[in-house]
Amino acid sequence: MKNRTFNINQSARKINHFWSLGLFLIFALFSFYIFQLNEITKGMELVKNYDKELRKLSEENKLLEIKFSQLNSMANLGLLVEKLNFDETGKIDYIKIPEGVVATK
Amino acid sequence: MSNWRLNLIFFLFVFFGLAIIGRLFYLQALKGDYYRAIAHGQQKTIKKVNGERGRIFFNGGQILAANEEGKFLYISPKEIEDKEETAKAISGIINFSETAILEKIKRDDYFKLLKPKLTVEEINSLKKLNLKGIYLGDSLFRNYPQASMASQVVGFLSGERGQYGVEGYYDERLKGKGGLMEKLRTPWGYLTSSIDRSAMRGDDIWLTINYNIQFRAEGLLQEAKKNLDIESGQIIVMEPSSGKILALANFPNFDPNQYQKYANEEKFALFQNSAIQKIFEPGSAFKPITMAAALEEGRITPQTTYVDEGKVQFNGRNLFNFAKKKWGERTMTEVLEKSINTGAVFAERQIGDEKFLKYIELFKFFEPTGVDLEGETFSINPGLKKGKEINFATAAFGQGIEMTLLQLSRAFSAIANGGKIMNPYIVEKIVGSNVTERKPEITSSVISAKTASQLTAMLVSVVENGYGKMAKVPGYYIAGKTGTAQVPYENKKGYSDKTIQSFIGFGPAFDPKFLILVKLDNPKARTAEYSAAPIFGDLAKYIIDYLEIPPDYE
Repeated sequence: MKNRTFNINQSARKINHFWSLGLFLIFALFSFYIFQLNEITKGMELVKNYDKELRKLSEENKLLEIKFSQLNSMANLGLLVEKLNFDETGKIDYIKIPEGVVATK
Repeated sequence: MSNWRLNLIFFLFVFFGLAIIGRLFYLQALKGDYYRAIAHGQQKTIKKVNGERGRIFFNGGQILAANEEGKFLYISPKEIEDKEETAKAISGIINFSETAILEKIKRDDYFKLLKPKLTVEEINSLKKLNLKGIYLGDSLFRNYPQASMASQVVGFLSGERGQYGVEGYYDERLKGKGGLMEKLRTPWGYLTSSIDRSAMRGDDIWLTINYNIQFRAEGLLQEAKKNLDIESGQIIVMEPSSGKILALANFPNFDPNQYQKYANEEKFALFQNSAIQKIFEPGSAFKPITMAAALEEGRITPQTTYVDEGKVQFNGRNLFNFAKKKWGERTMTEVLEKSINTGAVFAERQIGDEKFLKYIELFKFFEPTGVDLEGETFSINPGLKKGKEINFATAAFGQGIEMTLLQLSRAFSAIANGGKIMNPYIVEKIVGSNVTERKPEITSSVISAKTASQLTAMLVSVVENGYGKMAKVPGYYIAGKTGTAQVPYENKKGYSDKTIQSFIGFGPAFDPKFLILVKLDNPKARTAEYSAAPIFGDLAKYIIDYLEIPPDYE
C-alpha cells in the first residue's frame, strides 16, 4: 500500500513536470514567433522604405541630369554671354615654339 | 490518476498527432502542387516590365536623348458617377476641351488614357481633386533636353518605337529588354521582388556629332533664313580621313519632345533628314568629280587649255554657260575657278561617256552610303544610264544627275583623303554590357594620290582666285567649289526659277581635318558665291579655331 502511494505521487510529479515543460515551451516558442514576426515586419518595412527612397533618388537624378543638360546648353550659354557684353574672337595668333634648343650663346 | 486514464490521454495525443500528420501529408505531399499554385495565384502578381531605353549622347558626353520619370492620367469610365462634373473639373486642369473628355468618360470601359505626360502642377491639382475613377500612373518618358537641336539626327520615340534618325535606326539596341516582375502580396502590403533592371536596360549610344560644331552649323542656317530667306538648308561636316560625321544640320527642324504637333501632312516632311532622304542635282559642285575622272585617266592636266565658245551643241540642242558667258581660251583650273559648263563638258569628252559613267560608279553615286540613320535613299539615275550623249554632257556640270548630300560629301572626301573613299558614319560607340566601338572603313581607292593632290590644288585656286573667294579663311588654304543648280519641276520636264546653292570644300587643303558641305534651298542670292560660300567660310573659321589648327601661312 505504501509502495503504491509512493508510485502515484511520483507519476503525478512527472506529469506536472511534463505539463510545465509543455507550457514553458509553448510560451517560449510563441514569444520567439512574435519576435521573428516583428523582425520580419521591420525588415520588410525597411526594404520598402529604402526601395521608395531609391526610386525617388533615381527619379530626381534623371530629372537633374536633364535639367543640367538644358541649363548648360549652348543656347543658354549664348544668352548668358550676350548679357556679359563679350567681344567675339577675331583673329587667333599661334606662337611658334622653336624645337630642340631653347637658348643659344 | 489511474493508468488507463494516462494511457487514454497518451493514445488521444498519438491519435490526433497521427491524424494531423496524415492530413499534412495529404495537403503538402499529395496535393502540394495544387495548393501551391492556388497560393501563388493569391499572393503573387506578375507584371510585364520593359527595361529602360538607352540614352543618346553627343561625342563630348552632352545628352541628346534621356528618360524622365513622370505620370500619366487615365480614367476608369465605369467607376465615374457624375460624368459631366468630372469632365468639367479635369478640363480646367489639363487644358483639354470638356467635350473631348466627356466623350472618353462616356465610353463603357475600365481604362482610357487621357493625357500621357503631366506637369507637376497638373499632378498636384489632380491629386487635390481626389475624384472617383481618376487615376495617375507612373511611366518613363523620353526627353530631348536639347529641344530642336539635331532633331533630324536623333528622330523621336513614338509610343514604344523609335522613328527616324538614330532612334529609328538603332531602335533594337536602344530598346530595353522585356522581363517579368513578380510582386509578392503579404499581409503587410506589397513586397516587390528584386529584379535587376540594369541588366534589362537598352544600350547607350554615343554619336560622332560634335555638340559645338553642330550648334554653330544650325546657327548659321538660322542666320541664312534671316539674311537670305532660304526655304530650307543643310550643312554636313565630316572628318575626311575617317568618315566621321561631325555635324549634320537641317533647317527647319522640329522639337522631338512635341513631335505630335508636326504629325500633319504639311509639316510631316520636317521629320525627314534632307541630307540623306532627299535627292538633288548638285550643279557645278559636281565639276570636280568630272575633272577627277579626266585627270586620273591622264587625258587632261590642270594646265590643259580649250577654247570656250559660250556653248556646246548636241543634236541641235545647245548647252550654255551660266549667264551665257563666253570665256575664250581657258585652262582646266580656270574652268573650276570660273565654273565654266563647257569646260566640264570638254573634260568629260576627253575620257568618253563609258569611262565617265565608270567613274561615277566608282565614286559610289549609284549606291547608298550605308550611314547609320533611318531611311537613307539614293537614286539609280535611270536617265543617265540610258546612255544618251547629252545626258552625260549635262551630268559633267552636275545637271541631270541626282544624289543625296551625303553621297556628294562621301565622294569629295576621297579627293581630300588621297583618293580613298570612306564610309560616313554617325555612331562612335555603343555602350551596353560591353562597349562596341566603330572603326573607320576604307571602301575603295577611286583616284590616285597624285590626282587627288592635283585636284586639291585646282580647288584651292577656286577659293583663292575664283568664285569661292568668300569661303576663304585668312592664313589657311581651303579647297572648295560652288554649285548653283536650277531646281527641276516635280511633275514636268524642265527647270523652275528656284535654285539650289551649295558650297563643298575641305581644309586645311593639304592636311584636311574637316569637309563641309553647305546647301541652301532657294536663297535670295544670285549664286552660291554670295550665299553658301560665306557660310562655309564662317563655319570653316569656327572649326579651325575650335580644333586649334595652326595656320598654313602668316
